[in-house]
Amino acid sequence: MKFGKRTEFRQTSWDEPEIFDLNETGVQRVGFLTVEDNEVLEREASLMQILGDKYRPPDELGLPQNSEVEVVRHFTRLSQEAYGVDEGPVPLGSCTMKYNPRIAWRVITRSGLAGVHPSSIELGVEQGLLSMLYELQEWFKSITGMDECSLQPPAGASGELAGILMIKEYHKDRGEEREYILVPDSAHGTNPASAAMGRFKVVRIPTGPDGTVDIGSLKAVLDESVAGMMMTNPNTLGLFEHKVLEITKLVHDAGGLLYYDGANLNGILGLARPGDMGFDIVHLNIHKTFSAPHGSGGPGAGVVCAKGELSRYLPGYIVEESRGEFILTRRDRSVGDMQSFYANFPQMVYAYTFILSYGKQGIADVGLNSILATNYFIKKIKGLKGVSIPFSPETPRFHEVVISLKGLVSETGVSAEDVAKYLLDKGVHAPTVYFPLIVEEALMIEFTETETLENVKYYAESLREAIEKAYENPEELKQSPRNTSVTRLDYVRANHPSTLTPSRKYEIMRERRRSSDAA
Amino acid sequence: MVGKTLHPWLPNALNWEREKEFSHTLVKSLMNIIPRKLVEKAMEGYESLPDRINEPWSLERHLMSVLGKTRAYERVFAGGIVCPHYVHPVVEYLISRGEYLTSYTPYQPEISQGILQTLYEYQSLLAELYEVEVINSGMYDGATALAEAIGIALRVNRGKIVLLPQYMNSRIENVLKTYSKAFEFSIKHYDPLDPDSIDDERDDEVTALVVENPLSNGTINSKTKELYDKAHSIGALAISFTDPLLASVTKPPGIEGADIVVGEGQSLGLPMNGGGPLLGILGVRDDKRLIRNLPGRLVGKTLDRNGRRAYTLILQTREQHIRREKATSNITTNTALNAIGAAISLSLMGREGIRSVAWRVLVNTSILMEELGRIKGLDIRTKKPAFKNVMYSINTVQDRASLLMLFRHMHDVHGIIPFSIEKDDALLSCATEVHSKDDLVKFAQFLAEGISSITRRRSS
Repeated sequence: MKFGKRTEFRQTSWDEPEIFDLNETGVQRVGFLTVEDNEVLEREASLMQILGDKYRPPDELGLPQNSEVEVVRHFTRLSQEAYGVDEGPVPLGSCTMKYNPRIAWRVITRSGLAGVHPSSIELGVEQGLLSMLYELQEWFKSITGMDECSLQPPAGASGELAGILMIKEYHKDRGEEREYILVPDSAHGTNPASAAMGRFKVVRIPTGPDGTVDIGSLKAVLDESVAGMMMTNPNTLGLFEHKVLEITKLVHDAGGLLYYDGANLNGILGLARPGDMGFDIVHLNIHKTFSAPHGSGGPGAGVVCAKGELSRYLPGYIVEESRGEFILTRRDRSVGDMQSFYANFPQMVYAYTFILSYGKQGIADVGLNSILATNYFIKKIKGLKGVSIPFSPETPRFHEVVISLKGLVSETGVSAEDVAKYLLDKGVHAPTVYFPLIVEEALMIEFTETETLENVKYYAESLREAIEKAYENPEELKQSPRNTSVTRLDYVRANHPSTLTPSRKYEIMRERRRSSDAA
Repeated sequence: MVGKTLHPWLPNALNWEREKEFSHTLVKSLMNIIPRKLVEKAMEGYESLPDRINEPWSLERHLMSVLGKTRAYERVFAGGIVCPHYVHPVVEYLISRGEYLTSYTPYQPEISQGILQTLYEYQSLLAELYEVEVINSGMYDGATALAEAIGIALRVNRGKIVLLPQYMNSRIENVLKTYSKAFEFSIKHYDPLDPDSIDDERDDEVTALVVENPLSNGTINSKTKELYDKAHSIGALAISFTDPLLASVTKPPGIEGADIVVGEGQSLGLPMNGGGPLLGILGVRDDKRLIRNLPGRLVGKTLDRNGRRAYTLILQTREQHIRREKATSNITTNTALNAIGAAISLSLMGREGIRSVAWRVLVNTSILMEELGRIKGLDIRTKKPAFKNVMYSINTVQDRASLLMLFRHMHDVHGIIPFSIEKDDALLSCATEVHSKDDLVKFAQFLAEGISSITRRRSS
């Protein structure tokens, strides 16, 4: 029961009212003062007249009114009911929740990035920022083994959509109609979703008994109707696709293209490069591998890189050096823009900081340290009753490991979700649950290079404790979590049409309908 | 090979040395798994990476030398989708808290109530502003949110044609063109000042009609209601692209009959960040089909086992991690932290605050229009009343090279970022709450001087 020197975890629980209900007095308060002089007032009056019946009076706007101090307290209290990397281990598989260096945040704030208008980038007066983008392009080329990179996509999934469009346009330009994208059944959900967004049909390639792509099944579907294949390596089981060179050759021989999903790059950072494996298009997740924070769900940033001919199709802009100046250029067959402007800059500052801090001397240690942490964890949980490591259990994992609690659930009725909830009570974040879909009762765990050995051990011990409890007293796990802000939620109520509540406005509308029905 | 580098972000670097047998065996078997050729090429490729910078002060110094200079946003007049808005210190502070900054998507609701409630409040505050029942918890930016809104329309309605207002901001239209390659729709244009120009007969295959407010040239759209009605009369969905600040003082799209609402949330007091990340606002009116086809994350209110109010992600069967190729979109990472920032900013401003900011923008835009109107040879294309942006061209400075020269002159001599080049010779400057009257007057003066200086330089 030890977590460092701590023995008990209790998450803050404020039962904080909603912002609309904070000011109980009903008297007007302000958190934001503006002062109107006579000229402003006169102009307002005349503008109001021009607006006429388009004018929205104040009583038709249902926003709350609070003082500054109450707003600060409200959101500080709410923040205390959250758990991020700054609080403790968040070993969510495939999410790469590593430490987000504060130095990058400070530089972002101090440099006044908030005040940079996109036109200053476009028209070249922000040479420093452009030089940062330029260097990053070069470094990402070295890290991926690709020929050219665009920093525009605002997220990994956006990079995937860009890649899918590049594949689509490439074949179109060759007068070929290819309608299928191959996706391994262990792939991230974004892969098939991106392919479908590009109006491709998705063909699932099954995983073989060793946990990697089944070559026989792949060969069986490869023909001139295949536009390409999306893969991640290491795959979502944490296993290195050791036949990757054969796979990329097979797909290429059939005239298809290879897309690399960079969500799992952390596991091979410094050890192998997608470009050398034969991939044509690669995306990177800056908020995973390159230490930009996840920000409660975003913003992240995606980079998309391509080889040879495909570079012509890259989205957005490429920074080039011309006559001593950095300028934005477009590629002639570009698929277009993935967002309004050029890149997610603060996220790029994190990547820039990250690469500089490790340098060529240290960056290989990132991948290795993350692999060591994963396998150390495996070592600590080996032989646990009811727990198995599906697919080649003796083969080392890379950035992450997937364990199955299928045995546990059949023997005790305790599910992967129950165990995940119990882990919350131990003061750590739960792993990714029920993914990948090919593993029953899956827990997917990724520690990254920044998690301490003690915490990896503590996590393994906590898991062991959970399993032991499951056999002794399954009900205790069914009742967890107890130490978090709230206990388990009513998902039926959350999703049922009669109780669905996606906003305060919706709630009020529903209550009104209900009372008028009753009347 | 293992455990040689001590680094602040690698706590275990030397621990692995103590676990010698484990770590050495592991590394050896890794090298058997990865084809040797790949490892060799990687090592070769990594050689071109920079040397590491060790001490934090040296690293910070280096970073500041690349990025650092003081950037005063009241000297930014460049307009378009992004304009300078006041980022309140409370917003900046709160989103820098590790609990918000370093958390993942709240998939484990019991330990993430604070994030979920904050995002629920974001959705609720925006729902009040736009007067629709459902707003999701954020998209990448306004342009991609609009593309996804079109995606909703294509799923629930017939046809493959989307009508956009003429002269919509080219950056937004560029993104729509990209998405049109995926969603396979075609774009046609209509005159937003003349709803009757939309021909009922010809346009019976129109899936959606996009209505802007303000128009991309800054002019407030006085025909929004007629356009939403027109959309419905030709069997199209009405998509509103409305600035959230403007919605606080003009009739909101939900009241006037829009089916889907979209906006760029940077207006709500968020940083410009060089253009990214921004905040895409996306919502729908209360309609089962629209809600089921909404992409992105949605937070809802429920109860926990003890009957306590609690929040969780809802209707997740729309999303990629569950539905894969049948999902409504591939989006997962969005711009949650900016949505949190917007919620905090809206809470601070409140009903009176946001209205006063919007009024200040309106007033300042009218001042900017007047001041620019005094400059000889300046052709203003925006009509009164306008919100934020003013579009104009300069008779004597029209080609891109001269415009670039003028832009740089303003920057180098006055430290001013004067305009965005929208398309060809069309320029956008904006006035917001951060500008004083004096700022606007001086800007117009400097611009006039700059124009004559560039014109002189060219003719000599």
